[in-house]
Amino acid sequence: MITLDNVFKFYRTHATLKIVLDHVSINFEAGYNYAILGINGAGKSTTMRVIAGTELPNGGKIRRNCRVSWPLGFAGSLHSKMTGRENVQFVARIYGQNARQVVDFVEDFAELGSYLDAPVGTYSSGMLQRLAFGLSMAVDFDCYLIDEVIAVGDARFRSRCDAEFAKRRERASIIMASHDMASIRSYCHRAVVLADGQMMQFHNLDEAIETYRRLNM
Amino acid sequence: MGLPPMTATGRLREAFAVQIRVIGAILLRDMRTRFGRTHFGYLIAVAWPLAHLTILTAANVLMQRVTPMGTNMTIFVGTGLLPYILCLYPSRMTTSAVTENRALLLFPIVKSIDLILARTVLSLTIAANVTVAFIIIVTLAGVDFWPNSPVRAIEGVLATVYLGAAFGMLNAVMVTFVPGWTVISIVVMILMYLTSGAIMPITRLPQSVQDVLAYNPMLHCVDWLRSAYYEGYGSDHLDEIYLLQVSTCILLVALASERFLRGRIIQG
Repeated sequence: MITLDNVFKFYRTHATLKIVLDHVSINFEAGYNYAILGINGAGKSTTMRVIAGTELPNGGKIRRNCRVSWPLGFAGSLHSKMTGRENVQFVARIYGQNARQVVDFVEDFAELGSYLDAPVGTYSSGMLQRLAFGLSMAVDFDCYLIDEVIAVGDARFRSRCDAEFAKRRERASIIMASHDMASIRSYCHRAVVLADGQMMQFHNLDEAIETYRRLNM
Repeated sequence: MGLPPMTATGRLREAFAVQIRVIGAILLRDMRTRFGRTHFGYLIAVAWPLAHLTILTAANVLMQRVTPMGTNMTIFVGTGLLPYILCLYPSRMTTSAVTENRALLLFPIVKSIDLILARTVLSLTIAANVTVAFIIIVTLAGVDFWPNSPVRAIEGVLATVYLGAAFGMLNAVMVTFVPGWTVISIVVMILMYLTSGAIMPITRLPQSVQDVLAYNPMLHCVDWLRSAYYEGYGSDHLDEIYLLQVSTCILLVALASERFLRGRIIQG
């Protein structure tokens, strides 16, 4: 599904060089859901962005032979002066989806009512999250990348997110970075522990979580 | 799950289709948002350079008594100013292609080159509209602006637009990591304009100065356009191939730096 081949990724902080992936090769196989575990600062979010392609590696290659989502849950690339509808149409267009169908889906799912035709800049943060989540469920991806958050909003909306996401998982895989072991156990089959620029792959979740616990000590 | 294996040509065709789709979507989005949230936004984007061009032309026509060339002052000034406007505005618009739309790069399907190409296409449509509107305005004002050789005039305009587009693409890459690049590029553009012979023909200057000024690509844009209006004009300076070479070099530098600095452009 997604293959990292000798991937090298670092970034510079004030004075130091932080190596996130030190020539890592790993294969995420289709049909399995993966968790990425790591202590704070291990580079989980950077790794997610590298897998998504919104950041480039400094060396090595990443091959994706399926449609990979953007790291889910952000509202950052919604244009604040455009309406919700226009933003949705834009995303539908770039992913080659039927704009009307996608708008209908998001309209129904995000429950924004007449706000769908108001500039996104006027939305509350809850509305933004609902729109962003609805949008990410509207495009058919083969692999969803999730950085921490899956469900957003109040309890009722959260359960709708879970239900919608469950439907996706029947057809698509997920790769998620999370500190929440409960959601990892309920979503993932396999896990990768990220530490010191290395990725250790575990086919057994318990072993992975145990390794992660030891890193936390 | 996953896509069926594809041949290399199939993959290339697919990638090309995706890129066209993405550029089209960015283009529409830019037209809606770049010029404020009104339906007249695009019209304003055309009206601005058009007003600049028309006012400069009118001012110069009114100020100078004797035309340095030919019999019609408007033609002399208009053919000198049009290349400046066709370089300045499109390149300025493309300059902010990445910086203004960086948020879109959070969608992995959108590449930095897509942002640049979309803005380039948008600026080309504006350049075309400005040119046509200017010719209509001048004609309505009672000046016969029709060139001796329409084909040469179109060639000259296209070559000018090519220079402006290449400049814009280079700017779009450079502004992402050279502080103050916008100012540098505008100063360069104005210097090129002042030494292009747009208002004062450089033939009045000493030969040694003329030889130096002949390196200015915009001078060749002006000469190319004027050669469509004046018989035998510019024969001693005009070098069409030189202009195309300079534009192509700028374009190649722009594309190469985009390729090699892509990682940094994305991160900002």
